[in-house]
Amino acid sequence: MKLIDFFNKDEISLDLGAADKDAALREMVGLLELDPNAEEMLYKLLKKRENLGSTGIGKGVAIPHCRSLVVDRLRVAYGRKPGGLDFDAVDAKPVHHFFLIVAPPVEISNQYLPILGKIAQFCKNTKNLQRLGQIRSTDEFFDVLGRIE
Amino acid sequence: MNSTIERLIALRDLRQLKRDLEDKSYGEIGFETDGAVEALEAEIQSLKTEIGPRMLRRYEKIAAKYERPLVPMRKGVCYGCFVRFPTAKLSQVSEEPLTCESCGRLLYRVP
Repeated sequence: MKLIDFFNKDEISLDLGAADKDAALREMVGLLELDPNAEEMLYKLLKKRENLGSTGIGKGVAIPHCRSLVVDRLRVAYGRKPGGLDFDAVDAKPVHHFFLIVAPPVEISNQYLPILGKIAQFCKNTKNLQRLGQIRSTDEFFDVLGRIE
Repeated sequence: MNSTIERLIALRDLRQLKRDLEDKSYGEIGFETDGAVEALEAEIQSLKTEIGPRMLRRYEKIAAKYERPLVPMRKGVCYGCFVRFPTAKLSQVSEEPLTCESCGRLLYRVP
């Protein structure tokens, strides 16, 4: 499957309202539209993961991720914060692009780590990030991602 | 959601996170994980204490049998074995998590 196949229009926000790290995590989790219990548990787990080391990988990108029983299939969301926000990223720079990846612990297709790797690879390319910074609609988001295998 | 179930789900998720952190291919992606495994192990031990020895023994026994010891129950159906939970027992209020009478997995209700 291509990277684009994992994204859903409803799970993309090009204008996150969050002003800090916790709010960004909550807003990203909210994009998945889980039930309130599942949402809270997922947020707590992502927070724990962040406490072990920020998933802000630098260049304005964060990839919060975890596996949890609260989802029954691999879920991916994208959020953009045009002004950026402090996410304790490794390069200490503000984060503009957020990719949330959540998978169930037992996943038959075993795509969690490959997808995580693909997104990290995609974000290492500065041109890709520039393009993401310029898009104005979810359709354009899919155009950018559609070029990736 | 029952707090015991929440803790058991958290235990399952944290153990999975630890396995992921120890996975070589995860390390190759480039996330900083120095000291994370040790910190996570301490968290897991603390959570085990909160769950208590009796529930933990029960959980570990089921986990030894099934890869998914905790499964959702939707509309009264166990999503481990897909057998319906007796309707009469659904209304019983208990601090203990529900157990599927067919497969023995622990159940948590989802809408």
